Amino acid sequence: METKEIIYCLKKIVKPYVQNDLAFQDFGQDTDFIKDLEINSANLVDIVLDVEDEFNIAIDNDSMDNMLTVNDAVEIIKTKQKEQ
Amino acid sequence: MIGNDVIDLELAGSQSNWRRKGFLQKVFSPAEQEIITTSTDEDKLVWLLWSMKEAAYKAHQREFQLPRRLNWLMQECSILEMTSGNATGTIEIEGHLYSSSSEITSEYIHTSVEKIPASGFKNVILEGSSSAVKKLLITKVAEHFDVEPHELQLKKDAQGMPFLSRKECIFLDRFSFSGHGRFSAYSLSLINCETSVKQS
Repeated sequence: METKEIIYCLKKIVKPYVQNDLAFQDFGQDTDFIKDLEINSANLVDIVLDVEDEFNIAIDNDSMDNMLTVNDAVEIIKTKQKEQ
Repeated sequence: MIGNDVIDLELAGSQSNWRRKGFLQKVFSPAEQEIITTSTDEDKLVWLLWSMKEAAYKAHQREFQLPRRLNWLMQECSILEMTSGNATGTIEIEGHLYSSSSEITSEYIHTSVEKIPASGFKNVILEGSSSAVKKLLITKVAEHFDVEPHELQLKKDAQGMPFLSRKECIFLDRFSFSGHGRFSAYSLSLINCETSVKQS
């Protein structure tokens, strides 16, 4: 899957949890889920679960550990897809 | 070091569905899941343990200057004592033990965590903005150390952690802020803090 395509999917996944709509307009690789979008930390669990469902991958704890930005998520998704 | 976490229970209930498939497994160990599922008030236990984890990681992160992480399973919680309005417990993170004390109401849960057990927190929780609670903290610290409130400035370090500065020096950093929904809170430790006050 192309990076652009993954980001497009992520944007759809993240949308319902966003608290800062202004920052969401600039959604891109550098967007930080907590610092920029002000997503509640419990909703990050939802995002991880949604990503698992959408991309049909399993995100282990070590991978989740670093999932702070959109780019982090893209890298994790790509790595997990390759492993399959 | 110190950490705190407040949860607006009404908002948590509408923001998160912890009953969805996979949620508990991502956040809680089998032992913690058992604490939740054997309880008569599962919602309360979910958010109590959650607040313990969040507050403990804040303290741990600050103590060791760590980056932000998304890993709830690295914090293992135990509850020592629980009544209808309070709970105490411990949280182990990477071999370090933290003590927690929580206030539980029907509206919110507020947990304070510190490495030294029972050294005593000064907690304030209010229905209001984060700026109001920051102002209250400054007033409290100024009163305790007998300095003028306007001399104290709230700043953030490179990790984004707050500290109070006075005359361009770090004055106090043994406190933590948290906010969720209607509530804002601080936890402050004034015990032995003379040793942590770095003055010029």
